[in-house]
Amino acid sequence: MLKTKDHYIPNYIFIDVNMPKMNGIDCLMHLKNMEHLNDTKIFMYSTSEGAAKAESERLGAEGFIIKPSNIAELRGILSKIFA
Amino acid sequence: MSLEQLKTGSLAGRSNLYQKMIEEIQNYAIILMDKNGIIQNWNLGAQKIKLYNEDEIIGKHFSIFYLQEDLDSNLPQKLIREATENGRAIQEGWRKRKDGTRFWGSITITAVHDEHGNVIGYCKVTRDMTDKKIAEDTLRLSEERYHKMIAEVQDYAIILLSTEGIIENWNAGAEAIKGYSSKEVIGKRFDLFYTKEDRENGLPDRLLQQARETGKAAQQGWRVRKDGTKFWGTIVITALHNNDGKVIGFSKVTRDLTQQKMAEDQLAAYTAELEIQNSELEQFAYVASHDLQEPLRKIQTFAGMIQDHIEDTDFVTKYLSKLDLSAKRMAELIKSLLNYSRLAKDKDNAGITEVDLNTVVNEVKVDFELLIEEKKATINTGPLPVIPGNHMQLGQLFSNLISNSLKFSAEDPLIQIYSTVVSKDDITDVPKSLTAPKYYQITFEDNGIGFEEKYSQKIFSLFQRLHGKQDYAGTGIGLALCKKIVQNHDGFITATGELCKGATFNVYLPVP
Repeated sequence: MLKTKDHYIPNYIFIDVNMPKMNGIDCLMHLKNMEHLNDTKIFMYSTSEGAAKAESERLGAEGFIIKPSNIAELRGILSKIFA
Repeated sequence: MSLEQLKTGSLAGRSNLYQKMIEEIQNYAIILMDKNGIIQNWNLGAQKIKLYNEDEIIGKHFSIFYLQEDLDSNLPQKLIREATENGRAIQEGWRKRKDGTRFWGSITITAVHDEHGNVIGYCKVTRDMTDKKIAEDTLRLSEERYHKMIAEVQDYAIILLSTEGIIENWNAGAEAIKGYSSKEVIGKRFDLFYTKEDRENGLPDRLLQQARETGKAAQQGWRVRKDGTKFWGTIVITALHNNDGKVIGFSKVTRDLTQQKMAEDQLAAYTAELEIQNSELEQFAYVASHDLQEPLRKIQTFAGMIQDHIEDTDFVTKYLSKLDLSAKRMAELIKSLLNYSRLAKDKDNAGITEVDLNTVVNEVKVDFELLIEEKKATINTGPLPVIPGNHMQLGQLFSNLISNSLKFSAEDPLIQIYSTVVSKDDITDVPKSLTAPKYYQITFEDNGIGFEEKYSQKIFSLFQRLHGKQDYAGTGIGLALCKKIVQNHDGFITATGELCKGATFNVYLPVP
């Protein structure tokens, strides 16, 4: 959808690092190559930092979220991002 | 009287001049003796060398200059006899001065004859050669010591080679290191000490050529002793030149560093083992912080959500079952992690037997009978080798690889398993800890969904999944187990794949 319809421009994209088929880092790389998404803020998230955080930042992700273990925490993180 | 006058002067004058010349010669003792050896005449040289005044010595027998041991062996008489018979006698030896000190004299005794040819006396010319004698002796001693030093050095084989590489000299070290006595080996060519492969490769001649061209050739390598055993030698061949710069031979110094080499190899093996353990620890840390964290986080989240909706029975039931699923998933991960960590190498070889891999394949086929039938899969197997190993572990290896192929299959799965023998040099990316010269390459080839080439290393990591849990079951530990089992058997495993075309796994196990 993002590829075919370049009039569709989301404000935010959240990508899980561990995904089947294409992993999150590859996905981030592809999205960063799409000109019409230049203004879209892309966040990565995963259970732990590992090497993925540094790699995401290098590729231009807006932030790296470690999955919280309750909804309240998640709410806190998201409200900071949307503020 | 000038020299010119003397030359042209009377016979008496010339005789007088001759007399003066003798008297004043300083470097030679020139003595006239009668036919009994009694001293008649004494010159300046004689006085300088022997320290007697003319007054003290004239009328004495010439044996006064001889050492007691020479007197005991009648040397003066022997020399006189020789001079009488042959016209002269030449000898070098220690003589005694007036003060008892010795000098090394070079002596010529010449018989003096009358007009009828009868001996009427002797002329004795003596030169003091003490300095030369001492210098010569010192040099000879130093040379002797030098030869002895080389001959008796034990830790280095020091060998002299001709320009053609023929052994000309052999020392104690060479005998100790190589086992040949000098009798057995002198006259033979030095390639004797090289392995068959090195001889066939022309290594000995290459080293000689290098020494000839550059002055020196250094090398480390395995060499062969007389008894056929090998030693790790460091060798330096040095070209020897004459004054014109022409190569006249070679010196070859060899040191036996087998002990050091073995220690180094062992160290390298330990290091490699440590590296493997280290990367396993790293993987474990990752597993603990990431893979085990994931279901735990879910459990926490669901528990929190349930608490917030504790009155809503439908909600609670729904999320309790989700929570239970995550807990099961976590238990599964912990169990397989435990399996993995228990898969230790048989340190004492207790579980090692001769394992027929053909039997192993058949056992696995029986285990998967139903699945094979259900998937309409074909498994073609070539003849496989019999190798020493842990039957249970090898069974698990084959089982994991075959079940992977069955699991990640498309239509009409075709699995082919076959084995060839390959030389280590022909395989790329052999881990450096592995040393066997030949390996069985056991290939597992399928026509399944395959994987992208860039995952060919990652695929063996713990809990690494390339495909979604939704589509394919499993914890992602199968190939990590395979890798560890193969490592336990001193081998290694590689994977190649192409998305939607199939995957190929090559298992390399040392040929015993």
